[in-house]
Amino acid sequence: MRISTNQIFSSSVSAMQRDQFDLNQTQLQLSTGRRIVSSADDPSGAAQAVRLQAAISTTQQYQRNTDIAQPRLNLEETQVSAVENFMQRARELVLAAGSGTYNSSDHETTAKEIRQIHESILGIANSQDTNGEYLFAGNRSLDKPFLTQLDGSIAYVGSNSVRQVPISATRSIETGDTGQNVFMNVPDTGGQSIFGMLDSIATALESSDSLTSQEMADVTSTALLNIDSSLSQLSDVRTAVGLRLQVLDSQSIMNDERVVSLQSTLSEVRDLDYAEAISRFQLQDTVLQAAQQSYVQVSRLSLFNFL
Amino acid sequence: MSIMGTALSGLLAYQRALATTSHNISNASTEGYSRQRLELETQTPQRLGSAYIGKGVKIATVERMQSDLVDARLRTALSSNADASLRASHAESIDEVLSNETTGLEPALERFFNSVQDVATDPTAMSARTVMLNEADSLVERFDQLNNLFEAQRELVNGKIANAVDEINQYSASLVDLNKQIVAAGSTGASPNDLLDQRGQILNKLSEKIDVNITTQDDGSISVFIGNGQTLVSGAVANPLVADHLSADPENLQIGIPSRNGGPPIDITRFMSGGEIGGLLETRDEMLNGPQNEIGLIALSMTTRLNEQNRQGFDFNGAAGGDIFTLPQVAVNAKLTNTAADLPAVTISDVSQLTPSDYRLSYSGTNYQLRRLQDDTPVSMTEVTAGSGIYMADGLTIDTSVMSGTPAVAAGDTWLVQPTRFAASGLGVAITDPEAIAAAQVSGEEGDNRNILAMAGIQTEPLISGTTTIQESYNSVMSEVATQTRQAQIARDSSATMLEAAQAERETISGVNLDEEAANLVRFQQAYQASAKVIAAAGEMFDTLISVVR
Repeated sequence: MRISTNQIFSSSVSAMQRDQFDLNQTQLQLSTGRRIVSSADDPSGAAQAVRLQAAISTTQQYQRNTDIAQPRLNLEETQVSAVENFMQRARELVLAAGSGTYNSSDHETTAKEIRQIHESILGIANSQDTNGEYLFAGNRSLDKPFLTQLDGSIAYVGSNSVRQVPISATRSIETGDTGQNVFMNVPDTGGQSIFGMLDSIATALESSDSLTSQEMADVTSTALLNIDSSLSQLSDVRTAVGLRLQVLDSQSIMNDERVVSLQSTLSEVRDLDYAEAISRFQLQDTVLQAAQQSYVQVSRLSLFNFL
Repeated sequence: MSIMGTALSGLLAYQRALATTSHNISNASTEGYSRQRLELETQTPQRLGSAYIGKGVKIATVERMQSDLVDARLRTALSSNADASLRASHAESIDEVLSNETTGLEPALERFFNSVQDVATDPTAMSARTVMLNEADSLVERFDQLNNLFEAQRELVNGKIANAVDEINQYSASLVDLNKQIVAAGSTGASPNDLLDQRGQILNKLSEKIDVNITTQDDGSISVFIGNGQTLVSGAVANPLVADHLSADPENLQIGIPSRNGGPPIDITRFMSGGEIGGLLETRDEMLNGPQNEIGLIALSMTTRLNEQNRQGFDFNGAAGGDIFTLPQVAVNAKLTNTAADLPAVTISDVSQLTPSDYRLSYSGTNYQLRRLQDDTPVSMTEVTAGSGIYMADGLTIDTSVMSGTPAVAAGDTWLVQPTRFAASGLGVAITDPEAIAAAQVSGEEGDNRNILAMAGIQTEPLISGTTTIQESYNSVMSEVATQTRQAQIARDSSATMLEAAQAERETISGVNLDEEAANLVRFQQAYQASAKVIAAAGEMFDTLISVVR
């Protein structure tokens, strides 16, 4: 079996080049920390890695959405709580006024305080969040939702739709309530708003002189029923907001867990197993050294050395 | 005396043997050299009484140690290896850019749709809207960069094709020269070994450029054929190839062979295979044309749909929304040999029916025909109203009625229609005012986010050709490129192994082994010395004879 001098050299050289190439590839993996340095290394793994990356990005976006929705709902809960407190105070006042022990100047004082409560609640109804958006205006969030009409009544001019924010692929959360649902159209009051009922009881108290004690008792008991209905509506709203906050919390936890799980899968697919890579590197290093040393030995052998 | 003559024949023969050995040693590292071996044979013996006396040695021939079969195998291996190496290296360049996190499309898409979601959660915040417009700019720029990647590769590939064709023509000219020299030298009866080696080397280099078929003629010249029978070299005549724009494509070169009757060159691109040319053509078709068009389709589909959605909503000031992106025109090019000077006006009427293919429109003399180039099938066009000259097919509207100038359209006129090829570079962002983003579904409600929510939902709509989402579509382009790169790498590695084996086979027969030549040196030197000694002995015999007679 004949071999030419060229063949001896070129086969050694090409073997060394292959060893060098393999060693270089392993070194690239080690320095990038990736098993998949370019997609061609593992096309299906690379495609999977891209999908995982996209899923992580989407889930993190949902987390951002949640982070924006939470403070808004917290603020709404606080404000609705404050309105409830004011209405409780109004209830106490009306109860006392209907006890029959008040005189007309007491009634005047009570009416004044009720009118102040009316103003405070109107202020809350027209309050804004840190963005400058009106809390209870629905989607017409840059304009005051409650306007005082010419006849002194309060009208709701906001939108009837609220903003929905997606917090997962299948779930969206409403980030507010319309002023219509919170303050207006209280059930069992004949279509009155909170403002309307406070205004009418205050007016009645101011003209207490012209009312008989029976009429005063009727007026105050009607007012108490109205206030109770409004408290019930406010409580419903606050419960709903509380439920939404709970949903946000649990979804936020689920999203976090999902991100962690996706990242761990991504790492399994894409990242390098250092233990295996380092031992592979050692082996390839040894192989290259052996090839280089044996080349030097073989290249010294020539019959011309002995002639 | 015959002793002298016999010894002299030995002396001369071994002198030539030493010359051949030294020729081998000098050319031990010459590329394409086949070692030569002196064949000796005995001279015709002389009849002397009842015995035949030998008359020495003569040179029969100088044999060139090579095998045509092994050489043919080597040429095939060279061709496959050049093809696969080139394909792998171009594929790796493209694959790296598409899959890299800083240069790929995927991260830019994610950032854009995330910015849309941020506007959805906070539609009245100008900061979120401004970020969305910035991300739209980034996305447009990223599409442009990807398109430029393909264009740069295309320029490189076409440049290499032109160079390869030039080199092929140079080799053809050299072959013609060598053919003439070999025929002239062969007429003396001896084999011109070194010329044959040179010609073999040129054939090897030619094989690296393109697959060739060789036939040897009786007079010693060779004929070279390429493709499916086109003649490149025939004896003393070479057919020069041309690389030019022979079709309506303004960018890609086609390969042509001169026609016999003096007309334009005949396009033989589709028959070319193997070698660098085969690798370059395949890169162009599979790695460049396909993925570039598909990315163009993604760009068109996405921006058209986003524009449509924005137009359905109302912006921050309550005005109806307009287009977010400006869209590119459809590229139409005429074949250089067209009679008509006009071009048909082609627009996209339904982007969801668009395919990522290029189209060829041709006029037969009586009617227009459309051909989809990706799968090479004819496409039937429906005329909008009879006689209008406006046709619809595959989401395109082709208006031929605008070609009314002189010279008029003639039979055989062809146009290349490319709706998606350059689309990724032709995008722009049409709005600069963040208030112009139409987030609301109802006019006047600035906090309404329902329209922008719908826009965010486009990310998961089956938008591309009505079946795949944007990200899935890009992912499949990336996967396709990655898989083909992997295949090209495997082909490169296996063809390199086969090439090494073929080279080893050739070296076994034709390669010089210096130890062998050293041993021959010693052998021939001893034989030369022995023959010289015989001459000395014959001289002494003559002296003895002369001194006897005195």
